[in-house]
Amino acid sequence: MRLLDLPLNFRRRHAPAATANNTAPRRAPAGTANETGPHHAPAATANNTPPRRAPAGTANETASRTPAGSVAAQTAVPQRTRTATTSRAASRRARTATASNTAPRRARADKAGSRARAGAVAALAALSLVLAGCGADSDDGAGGGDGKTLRLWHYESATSAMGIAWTEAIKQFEASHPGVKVQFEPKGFEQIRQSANMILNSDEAPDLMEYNKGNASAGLLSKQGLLTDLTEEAGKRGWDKIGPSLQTTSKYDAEGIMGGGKWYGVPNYAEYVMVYYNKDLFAKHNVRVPTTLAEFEAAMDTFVKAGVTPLSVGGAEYPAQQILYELALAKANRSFVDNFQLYKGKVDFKGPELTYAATTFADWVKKGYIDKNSAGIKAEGMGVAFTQGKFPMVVSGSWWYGRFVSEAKFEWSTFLFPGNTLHPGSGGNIWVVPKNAKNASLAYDFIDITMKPEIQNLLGNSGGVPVLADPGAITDPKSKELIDNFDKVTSTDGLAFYPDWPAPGYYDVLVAGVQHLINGTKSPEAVLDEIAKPYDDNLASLGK
Amino acid sequence: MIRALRPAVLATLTVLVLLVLSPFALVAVNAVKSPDEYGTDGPLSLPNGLYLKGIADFWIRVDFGEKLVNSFVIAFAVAVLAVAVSVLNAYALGIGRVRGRSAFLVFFLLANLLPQEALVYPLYYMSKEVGLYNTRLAVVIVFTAIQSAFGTYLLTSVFTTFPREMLEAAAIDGAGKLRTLWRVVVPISRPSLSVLFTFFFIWTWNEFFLPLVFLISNDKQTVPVALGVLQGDRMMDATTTSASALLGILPAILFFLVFQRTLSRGVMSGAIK
Repeated sequence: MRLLDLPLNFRRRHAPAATANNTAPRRAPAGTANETGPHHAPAATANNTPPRRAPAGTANETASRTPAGSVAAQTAVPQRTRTATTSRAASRRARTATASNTAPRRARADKAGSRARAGAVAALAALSLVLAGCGADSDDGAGGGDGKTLRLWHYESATSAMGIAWTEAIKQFEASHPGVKVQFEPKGFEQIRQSANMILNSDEAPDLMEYNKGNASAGLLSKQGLLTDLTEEAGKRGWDKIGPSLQTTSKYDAEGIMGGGKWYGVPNYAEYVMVYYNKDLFAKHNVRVPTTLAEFEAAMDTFVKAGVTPLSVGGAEYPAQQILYELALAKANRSFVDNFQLYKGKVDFKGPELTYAATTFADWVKKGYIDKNSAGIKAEGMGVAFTQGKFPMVVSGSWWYGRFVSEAKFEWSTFLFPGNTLHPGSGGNIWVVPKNAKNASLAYDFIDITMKPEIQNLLGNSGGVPVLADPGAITDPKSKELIDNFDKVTSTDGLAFYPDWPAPGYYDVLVAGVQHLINGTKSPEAVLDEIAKPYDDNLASLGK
Repeated sequence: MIRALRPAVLATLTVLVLLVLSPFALVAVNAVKSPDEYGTDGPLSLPNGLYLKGIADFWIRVDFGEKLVNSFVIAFAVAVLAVAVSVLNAYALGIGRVRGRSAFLVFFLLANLLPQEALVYPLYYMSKEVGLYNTRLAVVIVFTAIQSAFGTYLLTSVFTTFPREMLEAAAIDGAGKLRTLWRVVVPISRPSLSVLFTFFFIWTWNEFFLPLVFLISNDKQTVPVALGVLQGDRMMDATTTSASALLGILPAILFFLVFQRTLSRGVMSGAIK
């Protein structure tokens, strides 16, 4: 090429004059792609971001049955088979293209680029080679169905009861399967929630993963055919020995609605809502542990008279609606729960259960049991206020247990919501085996190990609620109390699931409704109307 | 009069600065607090001592060094490629005066205006079909396209005001189209390009949603995705989350400080003729 030096030296002299009049590159104002996405704002993560429990219908999850969700549902199903071959071939190609050492190439290319225009093209080419190098190892992670690797994902923190128990399970698995390596990757809840159906529909699917129970999550995936039917294994290996209300969230019907006939997941732990109380404050105000709802209210009266707000409540998130649900369950029986959660019959929102719940809740606010300012409190704030000793009681789930054990510096204990036989609670998140798992039989073996008494007892002794533990082997006194209470609940088939499960997006409906009750901006009747509508709309869209 | 107003203005600005800084301060305070202390004193208290275990634990748990490398490789590659693509596009649209260029510009702008949620499924299928799902290359390609769409839009408006005389002079000197681009247009608009580069780098660095969906294996994930690991199903570990947030914003702040000079130069360039 002709690289004769033309008189181009004017470029330096004139440089500053030319460039753009103004425009500091500012992002285009209205909703640019980058800004609308759920950006990760570091500042925000510090103090809040809801630990969302709801399996059914968080905004993004739009359940299987709504029109919005079904678009995703339909697009996600087809062509599972073709990709395996193409993608591996492609990544092989990419790897051969990369050549072994990319770094020198890039350095060389950079120099060349500044020399001439041809160099610029070369630089681009080299850079893309470097990048191809990044992409080339795409199939490193896949065990490839050799029976030598178990790819396992879960999103429990390493110090939680599940984290501790499952780490031990991995050890036992490797000991009992010589030559097999467990490739464990700790995942973020958010990542699994956002992209599980995409991952499971590709050949990047793990062999075994923890997944959210419920219609909008595990149910949806089972309906899309992305999960392995575990019915046979569950029967053969005795996983079906867990209690009936625990099984509800493991079994789905053809429509992906829980309580169906086929096992798509296996819960390894359970959870339920109870009352945590500060023993020191109870002693100070001379209050005894209540056993009936009347005693409970009397106890709260005592605190109010002493100028102490009895309940720490997070009105901006799940805790408040669980209190409302507890109150409804005080007047309810199993068939109400079946109607409400499993659509087995009509739910009357103006019936005795929910009317009692809403009026009593409003009453509790009026009497000062629940602080008027709690509408804006998040679950995290509620828990921290309790560990700070500002409130004598908090009504919430067993997921707080481990945290209170390590962070509360006073004597505390728990009791079941007084007088209730039904309590919010369910089986925990479940093990699922993706349809595209390459080593499904290893996955079954692993599930089996986590269901063994040893691992279950370890889970129990670490502050979790096991599903198949041997009560005699729970030695930690605090854990024993937690598990004994849970056994009380399950012995009467008392798990009533969570109020936000029945309809997609119902979580936010309930948060808004309960906030009206706390703020006193709507009457209990109006709130019941408000929460009845989305529920009925959902039923209508299901054709029930 | 103006002199009298000065303290008031100063006070207002101080308050505003404090407001802007307070979330960062809260993050920093909680990052060095032990979970016990957080539980008993709450998020607003000052820490009793430096507790660095949260930061160290987080670093080890997510292998943060690896995430830094991933983020850097992706952000740098996108910045370089997107600037290159933007220059080529803008050269054609702004200087070359291609027919129907406003239609082109609107088209490019669309890429920026579409929410990423809408792009996710198509991109997922395409990347899966060509075997790039779960690769950093896929993220680089996607963001090169998205960022260069904006870059094209911006640079085109810069290039339309490019002095014609200079282009004519180059032509008279015998420079072809490519040489004019490389030897005339690019050197003169370098300040704008370096600003674009910096912004592309930071924007890509901070991207969360698409990397979250596309980078499945932990060893390919970027810093913002790694921060998400701590968010459990229903529990959060406030102190470790703060620690991770602190670690997460530091690189972007560092990068900004390093390139701050470039930025202010680019923003000001051409302000006075």
